[in-house]
Amino acid sequence: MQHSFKPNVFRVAVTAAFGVAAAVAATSVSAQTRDQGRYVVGDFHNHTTCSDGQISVQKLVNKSVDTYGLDWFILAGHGGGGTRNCTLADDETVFTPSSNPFVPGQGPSTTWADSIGIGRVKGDRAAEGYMFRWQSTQEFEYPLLEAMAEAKQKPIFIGLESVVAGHEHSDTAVIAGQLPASGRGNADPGAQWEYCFDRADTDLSRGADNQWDCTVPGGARNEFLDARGRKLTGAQDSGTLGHLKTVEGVRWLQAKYPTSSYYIPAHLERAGVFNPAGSNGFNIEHLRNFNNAGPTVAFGFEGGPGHQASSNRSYGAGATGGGTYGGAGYYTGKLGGVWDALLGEGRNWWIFNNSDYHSRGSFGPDDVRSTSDQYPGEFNRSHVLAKTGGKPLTPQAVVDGMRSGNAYYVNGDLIDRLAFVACRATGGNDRDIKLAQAAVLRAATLNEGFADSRCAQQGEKLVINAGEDVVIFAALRDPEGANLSPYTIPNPSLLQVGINQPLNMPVLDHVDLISGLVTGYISPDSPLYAGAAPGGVGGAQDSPNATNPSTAVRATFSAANWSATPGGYKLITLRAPKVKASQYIRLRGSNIPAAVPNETDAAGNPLVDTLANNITVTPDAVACADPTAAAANVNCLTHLPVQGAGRRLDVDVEAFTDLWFYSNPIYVEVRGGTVVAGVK
Amino acid sequence: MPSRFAACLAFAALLPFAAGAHDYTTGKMKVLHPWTDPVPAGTASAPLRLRIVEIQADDRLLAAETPVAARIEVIPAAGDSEPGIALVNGRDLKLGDEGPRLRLHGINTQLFFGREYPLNLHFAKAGMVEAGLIISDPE
Repeated sequence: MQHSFKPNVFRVAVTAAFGVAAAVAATSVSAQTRDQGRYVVGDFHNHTTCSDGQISVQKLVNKSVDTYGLDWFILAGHGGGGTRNCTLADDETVFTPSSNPFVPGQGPSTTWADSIGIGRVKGDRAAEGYMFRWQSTQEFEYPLLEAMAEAKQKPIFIGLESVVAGHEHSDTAVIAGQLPASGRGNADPGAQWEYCFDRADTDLSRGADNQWDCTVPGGARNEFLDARGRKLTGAQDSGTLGHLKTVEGVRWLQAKYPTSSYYIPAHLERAGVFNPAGSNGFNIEHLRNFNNAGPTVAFGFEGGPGHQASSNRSYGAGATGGGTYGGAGYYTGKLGGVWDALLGEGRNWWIFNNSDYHSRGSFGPDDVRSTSDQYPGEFNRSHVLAKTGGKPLTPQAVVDGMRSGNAYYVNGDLIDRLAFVACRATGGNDRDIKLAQAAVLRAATLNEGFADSRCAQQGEKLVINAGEDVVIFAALRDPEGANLSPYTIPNPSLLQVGINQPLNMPVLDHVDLISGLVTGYISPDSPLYAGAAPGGVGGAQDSPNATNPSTAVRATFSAANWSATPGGYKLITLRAPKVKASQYIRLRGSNIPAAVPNETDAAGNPLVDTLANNITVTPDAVACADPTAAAANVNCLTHLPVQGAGRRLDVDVEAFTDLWFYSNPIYVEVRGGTVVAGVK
Repeated sequence: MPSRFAACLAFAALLPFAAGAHDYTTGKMKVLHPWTDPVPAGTASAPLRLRIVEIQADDRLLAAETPVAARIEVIPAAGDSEPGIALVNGRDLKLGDEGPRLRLHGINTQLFFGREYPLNLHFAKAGMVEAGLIISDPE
């Protein structure tokens, strides 16, 4: 049985179309002998009825990889457990493999007790019919995903949204054992991790027949394991002790699965700052602790949370920063904030986005509208460079790509291609620059990475001598045509500044090039190591330890100064002369210009998304007056909250108004200066 | 730390609960999983269940509203003469089918399993918390 999957046919077609230009660039600029890899799109944070979602595993996978075309998919679901059997297909129209045929009268809200029988439920709550996640992962969800992967010929495998001891939630997975090259696989290591380290998993049965022991190699808390459950539990799940348990969980992953697991905190601003007596958010010191304990496992966070179609675009007022910022969490959206502080240390700390799909709120799962979530791939899309050596895509290639940091995330298909490169420019002349531009454009066109020993791309570092020039290139594509917004009304945010643009036809307005200095890792013993970033909530200001004040927008590119090429490509070039200090550079872009009321400040930074409620949307009154037409015409927008004579901007319509993309950084390390220690 | 407060914290930490997307955090409390049962339009009354944990300051839940019900009745604990439901610092609060509780009255649409509707909770000190009412079962 083959569990690795063929790349799509796009590469072949484009190679033929651009063959001549590619040959010129290849011979002149780059040996191009390494595997450049290919960007693939996926999602690793989503839910079914096995936790608190609305639909089955099958329906979620079908929507994700068929309807929305994801190249890879990692099923998550909360730790803990539940009473519902998410492996039962919703109805007879939902594709399901022969291993899990549709059962008339049953569906994903049918309980385990009423489907498999309570006698097959294991663990300490079996008598209630409550199945812990470790069991559903091991025995039901993973085998179904393996069959789905085989049917879809895509890497479809399983992870977890852990309910985190001492904090709120994290995305994690252990891929070891999953989708092997031949034969049947298993998700046993991930199931064990869930049993051992998830706060909501209160089982002490040691995984029934598994008889797991949660001792951590080299761990600092092994003496506190519960005698029966052989895990840290009870008071060790909350506050400061809970955080220490979670560090042990990261240490366990690093010791056992250093290249076949990940640990990525999710929507980490949502529950506010860290609470030493509860289970709230993450401060910068906790992220530093994770990265220190598991440098190849804990390598980033969810910069763009899911639930983007929910009220106020995901976060409530209790979140740090008081909400999301153009869909990004405060730690990412705030220029010079937590993410920049971590990058300023030179850490390998990358950002991703996800759907966090649960339901479509007040609408059914097949409605195009939503007051809660978008499907995986429908709005939030993480593009990850996967290197397969010409072989089919595997879970390992996906996770290797995530760990590499060569990834960018996008809302609403604002862009769908990006090549972002920094090169040494010693001796470079105009001809060299033009050839390099052609090579970078070619990489974007082919949706590939960029391999050249004189250059670095996202997640890499360019080592230079002090005083050398660095030339920065970016080629990106603003795809032509409509995105997946079901709404064709004029973008209400842009109407405020006189721009009439259909909501489903966004245009990239500008790209910011951002940089910040790298000053080295901060020791856990340093007074600079810890600090909260509440973002003004309750009047509390950010600790300077959670900021990087050197971060700034160095240049902004738009139609005025980028080179546009056919097919929607934009080419950006910037020469940074005489670079003397180690630093990082990153990109962000939006369809919203600077100084749009309720959306961006004068410098183009995203404002908190609750402000979009101030924007009134006036729907088509004629169409909405006819109930039949209203049912067919989603532009009636009757699901928006009423405000005065119109309705206020919110939920899924708000999400599609201001779209952003974020790249991950490229580091520039100056010899004799600060070492970028997080990137080898 | 006073020993009594420490004991409360330890007890709270031992309580198992599922945390999901339906958690709503303010600076002083966390509202978990407001939910009701799937029922047809026209249902006269149904319970609105939720839990409030990690309460860091005394407060009172005074009112609630959702577009899928004509009104939400706030029923205080027996013997509590103050308006609303009391929240006590350090003590988790469960609103279920008995005792202090919330009830939906005049349900105006069919509540399908898995759907979620706006729910505003009004507290005396914390103000309004925007939450979601999910049509579900216990987690």
